[in-house]
Amino acid sequence: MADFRERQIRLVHELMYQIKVQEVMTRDVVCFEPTNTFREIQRCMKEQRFSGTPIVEDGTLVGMVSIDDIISAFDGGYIDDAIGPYMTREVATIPQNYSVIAASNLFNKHRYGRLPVVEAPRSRRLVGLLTFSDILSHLLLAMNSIAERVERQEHSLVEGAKQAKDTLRFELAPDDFDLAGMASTTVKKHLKKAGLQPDVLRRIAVICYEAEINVIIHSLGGFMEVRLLPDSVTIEVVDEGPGIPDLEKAMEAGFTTANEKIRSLGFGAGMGIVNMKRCADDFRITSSMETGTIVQATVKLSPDDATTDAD
Amino acid sequence: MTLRDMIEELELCPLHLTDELDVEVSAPYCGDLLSDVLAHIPPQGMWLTIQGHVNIIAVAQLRDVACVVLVNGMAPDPQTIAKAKLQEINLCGSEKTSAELCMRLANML
Repeated sequence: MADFRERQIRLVHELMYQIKVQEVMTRDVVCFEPTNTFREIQRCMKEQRFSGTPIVEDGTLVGMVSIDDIISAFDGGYIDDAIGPYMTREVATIPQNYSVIAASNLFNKHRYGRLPVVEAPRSRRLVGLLTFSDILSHLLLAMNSIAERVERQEHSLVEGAKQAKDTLRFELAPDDFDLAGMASTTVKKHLKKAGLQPDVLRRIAVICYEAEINVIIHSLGGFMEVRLLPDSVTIEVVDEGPGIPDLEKAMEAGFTTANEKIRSLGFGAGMGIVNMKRCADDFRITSSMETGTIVQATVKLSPDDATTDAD
Repeated sequence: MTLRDMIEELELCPLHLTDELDVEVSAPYCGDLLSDVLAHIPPQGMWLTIQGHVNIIAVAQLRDVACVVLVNGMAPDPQTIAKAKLQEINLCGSEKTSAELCMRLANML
């Protein structure tokens, strides 16, 4: 599966397009001069556990020496000679302000172990050293911090909601696509714990999601309140306006007022209200310019669902 | 067929995988309109889509999707992978089109 590694690397590129080499590279680079000997370098490599080093003269990159060069030096009997005449002079470099993708492409194409980082595109001034594993570590860190941020947001959303034993309330912020769906997925988790059956859960999930997304896409903000009653689940979604001008049209399958950008994300199929109505046992939608839009839906629970209490 | 076997047979690239790989995948579903997928995807389905943004994860969670597969080599947003981790949703990628994957599946099953 050599193909597999190609694919993985390409996906990593997409994720890392925002990150610059200078954010990821090692700045504290061990380097040597052309007058140092192979043996001096070899000792340092052994102690400090690196496998390649840039060679500089007054801060300017003039070459590279790797473990292969050391082995050749041992083999050829010139281990105590100065590296100057032997070192690789043609060294691939990367400017510090380039995206890490450019570096990643070089690693992938040429199988370099490391890339010396230079100050600017036409400069040979060494500012750091970059390896592929530096990129991967940074990627993991970036993903963890994104996951943490998302987790904190979800936590505060749930904390901020009024949590009674059988009522869940969520404030819904307009245009917040990062958090879109958070209320619905939380409702589903909660009701699943309460022991509701999968098909009832799915119907409730559809109603909540479509209502939540409508508030986020079309309104100035609102809230969702879900109540678990002994024989039913009620869902109420209220927003602050501007209201639906033509409610009858809005209830037609395929009709949407979502803009092009939103539709490019896969929203705006125009099936929201139709789907909610289909999934609910009772469904009511009212809207005006003065009051905004109110959606009220009820999903009846069968005797199997009705017995368990919510935690 | 289990998700584990499907990932191998279809040569899917894992983006985030949970421990639940032995789930029996019911059927593939191709769709890029979220309302459509929400309404029609069977439980434990495999969702083939080009949508890589974070909102696909909520839809996957709400419909108990076995795995979301981004086709045509579409890359996910970083937040999507983070959200997949958080919501414990299996997420994979593929260079192939949804048609190619479905035809392969038809031959396999």
